[in-house]
Amino acid sequence: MMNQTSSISSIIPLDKAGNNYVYSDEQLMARFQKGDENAYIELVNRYRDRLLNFVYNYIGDFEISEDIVQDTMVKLYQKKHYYREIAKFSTWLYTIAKNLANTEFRKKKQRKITLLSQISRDDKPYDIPADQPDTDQEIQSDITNRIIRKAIDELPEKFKTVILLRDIQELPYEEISSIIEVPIGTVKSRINRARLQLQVELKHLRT
Amino acid sequence: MNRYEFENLISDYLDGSIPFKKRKEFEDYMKDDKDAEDLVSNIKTTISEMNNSQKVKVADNFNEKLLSRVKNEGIVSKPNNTILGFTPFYASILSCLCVAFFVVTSQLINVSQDSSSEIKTNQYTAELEQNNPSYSKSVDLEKKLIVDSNIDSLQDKKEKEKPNNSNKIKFVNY
Repeated sequence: MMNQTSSISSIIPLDKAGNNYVYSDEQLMARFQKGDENAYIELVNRYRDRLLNFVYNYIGDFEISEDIVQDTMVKLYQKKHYYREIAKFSTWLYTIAKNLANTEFRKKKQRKITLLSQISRDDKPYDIPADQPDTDQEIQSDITNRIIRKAIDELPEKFKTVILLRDIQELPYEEISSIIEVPIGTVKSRINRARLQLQVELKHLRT
Repeated sequence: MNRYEFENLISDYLDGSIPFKKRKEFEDYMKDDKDAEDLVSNIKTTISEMNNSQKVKVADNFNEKLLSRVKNEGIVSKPNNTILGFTPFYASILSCLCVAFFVVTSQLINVSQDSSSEIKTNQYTAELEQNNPSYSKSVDLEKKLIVDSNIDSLQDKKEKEKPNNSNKIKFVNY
């Protein structure tokens, strides 16, 4: 099966600049559907961090987020024949991840309700598993990040999803519209309202 | 421009997708209202902070873990055969409904054709009656004969339906 993970990325050629992929996601998916498992590894390498950031900002727990990304990639493997090239590959993958994250988020919410008293005593919604910041500027930036993340977490679910997809993942409106299955006009209005609401939450940060 | 319109256009303004005329109005509104200007500036800052926020990365052994999972549970499921996007079950139900629809429709068309031909016949006889009085007399006679024969057949039927007591046991007092 797949055992040469380290050498696989070198099989997929890059362009001269080394930053644009010669094979598009859709072409890789087509190769994977025909049985080329190296193409699967390349797709995993392209999307694992992006998806992790999206899910992590959504859920707020690194380990659970990593599990969700794993589940997404397993689903990609299992359901490869279900993908049709009428949709962008990234849209399809983000939709899978979003649905899994939604399920986990609801479970988490349920747990939060039942264990409210315990959580309020030890309320650490974001535990960033990265290196500790060194300089004052880095510390300040880290604090700002935490505050923004907390403010995003306070948003209603429908606003939270669009703001993460637009302002953190930087996806185009059309793609967001396909992922969350609402018209582009609704996406734009939700993003606008989410940004305004976020400013209310972050009022103390700016004063 | 009022505050409500202004707030609705903030994202379009930041994306650069606002029409030129509106853009002018928007900027004029910001010049007049310091709060509005601050709001746009804060949103801009927040977006850039979110863009530059600390990115997390998967653990080093992510691919190894994933591949061992795929090895264990990565049974590839193929989509079911579909007929015009429907599963065979739903396709058969749909085809049954289509057949039923055509049968009912064709029967309804036949009924309406019968009734229209009856109306035409009635109109034709009425015209004949008007033009030819002897025809109406013969028709009356025919109708009378039909009525008489109907009465006869009804009487025959009633007689047939009368209970036949001939086979019953008779009790006689001596």
